[in-house]
Amino acid sequence: MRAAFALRLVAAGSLAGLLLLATACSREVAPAPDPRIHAVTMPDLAEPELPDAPGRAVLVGACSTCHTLRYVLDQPPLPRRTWAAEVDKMRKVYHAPFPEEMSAPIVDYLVAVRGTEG
Amino acid sequence: MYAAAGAALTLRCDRGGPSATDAGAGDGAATGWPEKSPALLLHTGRPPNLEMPLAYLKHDLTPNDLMFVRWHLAGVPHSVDLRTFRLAIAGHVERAAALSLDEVRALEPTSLVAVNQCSGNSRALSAPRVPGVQWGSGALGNAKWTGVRLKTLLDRAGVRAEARCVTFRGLDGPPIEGPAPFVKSLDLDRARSDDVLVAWAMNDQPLPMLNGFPLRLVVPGWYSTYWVKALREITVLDAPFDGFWMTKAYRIPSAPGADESPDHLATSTVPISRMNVRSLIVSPTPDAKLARGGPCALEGIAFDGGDGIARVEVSVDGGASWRDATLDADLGRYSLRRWRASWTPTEAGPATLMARATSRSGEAQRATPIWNRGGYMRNVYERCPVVVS
Repeated sequence: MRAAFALRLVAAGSLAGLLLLATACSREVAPAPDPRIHAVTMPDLAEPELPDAPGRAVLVGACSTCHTLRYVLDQPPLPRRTWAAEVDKMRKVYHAPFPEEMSAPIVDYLVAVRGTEG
Repeated sequence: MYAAAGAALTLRCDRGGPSATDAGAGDGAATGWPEKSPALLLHTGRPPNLEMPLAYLKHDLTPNDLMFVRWHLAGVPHSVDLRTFRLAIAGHVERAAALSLDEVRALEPTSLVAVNQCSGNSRALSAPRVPGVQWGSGALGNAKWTGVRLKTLLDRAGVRAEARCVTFRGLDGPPIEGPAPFVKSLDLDRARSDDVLVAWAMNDQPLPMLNGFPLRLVVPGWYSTYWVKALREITVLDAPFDGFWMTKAYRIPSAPGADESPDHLATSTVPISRMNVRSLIVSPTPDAKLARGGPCALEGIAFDGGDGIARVEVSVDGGASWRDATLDADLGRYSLRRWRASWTPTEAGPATLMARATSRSGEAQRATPIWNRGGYMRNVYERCPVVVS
């Protein structure tokens, strides 16, 4: 087992060496990018820092997997019932991977920073 | 395949604090987005949602780098290999096909000018406010679209007698398992109408990646939720499509005018479809300071769901009296129509400029705003407060 692992390391090392060599050799004759491949680079935006209020960590953990937390900052003040419906929709309809018991602290946080009671 | 969310840069525009109020429209410059102007306004970056400042409606054809950007799911395509890219046409057809971009482009091209407007354009103006991307009025643009008629592709594939509707899917996807992929549908009649295109060019240039390279569906007169970007799959079904993005999202009250109220939400809803008539004031801009006795050029645009604009009226007294604006050249019934009027203010003080459009079928803008939970289809008379001194 250990020997096999070591062998793999050696093989990987050799491969890396070969690749380095290939890269070095090809530097002067690097092929032009193929015009049939259209590739772009998207900006690497940091997540905004959300206002501090109870539930922030729960929300960050539950929501930021699928979308930027800027969605929170983009929202107007909304009534508690609207926020509760949004969080419910994210969990049930969009299948956001957080358990139901996390909904209450998330809604509390959203009401605290972008909400009104009601 | 997916846009990465990193941790390198701090957004300059965070509104912190529980008491912060939201002004609507994206509050940050959208710098660094490929093929897009930094003049766009950033709502969100993952997925990207970028708005055009209204001043750029000064262009009859929106430059490609200023066309707004709207994606639903964070798995946004950022690389397309045209050697392997294929547009699939499948389902209830006689001859399923998988076409390269070159093969699509070899078919007979059609061009038309059409407004591309997000269903939620102006959502930030909803009162009371509703959740969703808080677009100002810049989630729209006008462009010349070139492509092949969808009908041509369907006819080549041979739609079978049992066909009922057609679905459209792009290269984008959810970042995790769970959320439904963005798939939209058109009933067979709409799909086979002459004006629906599978477009490869916007203003005679390839589509920017963020606007749907290499192919996007163009459904003139209908909101851009149907204009599926990075189109890769056209599927003919023998039953109505029951996917999330038709049956749960993008729905409006079925009552005329798509109106409801927060306390009496409509129990009957339908998928949003055709755009209603609206106008926008481009110049002057809100809160502009005008000189008494000097001529002021009023300018704006109007459009509808495809009948074309017959008339635009303006008011300089908050709607008490109206007069006709003149219309610029007609670029096609799906295009925006530019209007102009002039006004020489004679009294100092605040004034409210207004605009309202009527289509060739007689559809007129509404004097009072509609409201629905999605923040869709705003078309109340436009208002622009100014100050004369």
